[in-house]
Amino acid sequence: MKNLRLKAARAGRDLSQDELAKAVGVSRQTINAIEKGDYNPTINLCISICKVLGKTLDELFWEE
Amino acid sequence: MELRSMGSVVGLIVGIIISVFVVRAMNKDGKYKTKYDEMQKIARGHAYRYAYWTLVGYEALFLILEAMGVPKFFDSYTTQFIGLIISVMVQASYCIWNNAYIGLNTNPKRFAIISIWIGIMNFVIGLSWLIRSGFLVNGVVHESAINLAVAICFVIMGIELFIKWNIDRKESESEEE
Repeated sequence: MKNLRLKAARAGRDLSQDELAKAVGVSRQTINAIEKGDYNPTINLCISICKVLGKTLDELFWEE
Repeated sequence: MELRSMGSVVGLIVGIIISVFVVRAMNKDGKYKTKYDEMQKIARGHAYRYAYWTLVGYEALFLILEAMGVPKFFDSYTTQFIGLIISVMVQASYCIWNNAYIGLNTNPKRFAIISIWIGIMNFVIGLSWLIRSGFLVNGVVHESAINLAVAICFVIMGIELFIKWNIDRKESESEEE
């Protein structure tokens, strides 16, 4: 399932996939795969993404 | 053991020892160690698995052919080396298509230059041996075929990397629009 909330939060911070990837220490393709729902990140990576985007885990990764 | 084969063995061992010592000496602080992210590590794990089974399948195939008495086209040295090259190619290709070949801290330009240099060097060595000794020696393919096989692998990998790089570039551009 696509993670549109992550994409929206990233766009809200005016960050490209590449910039977010560099900020959390992964490749751009990994961020792209997470947004497309092709890859389930570990909790550590989720936390790093949340910290950079200023969001909580629930806001970005909890499926309702 | 023939002198030529002895030379190959000594060359291989010296090459491995130098590589290990040089890499260790250069990488004391882990600065030169290629870093991969978690998704890349998973993809690389899959790639190693496919490479392993490729090598097992290759060895099994040659055991069966040998048991059947099928005439050999390669000596055992070349046969084993080509098996290694094929399995390494499987690992590399899988990594390339799954974004796990180039590490996070790899300098793509330096990587491309080294790869082109290795490819050209192997092509020149292989071709010069081939011109001197011919393709077949005593009914089997001359071992210089190994160098040509390595050169071909680098060409294939280069093409794969170029195609993948273009796909990623287009994907990145469309993402930013």
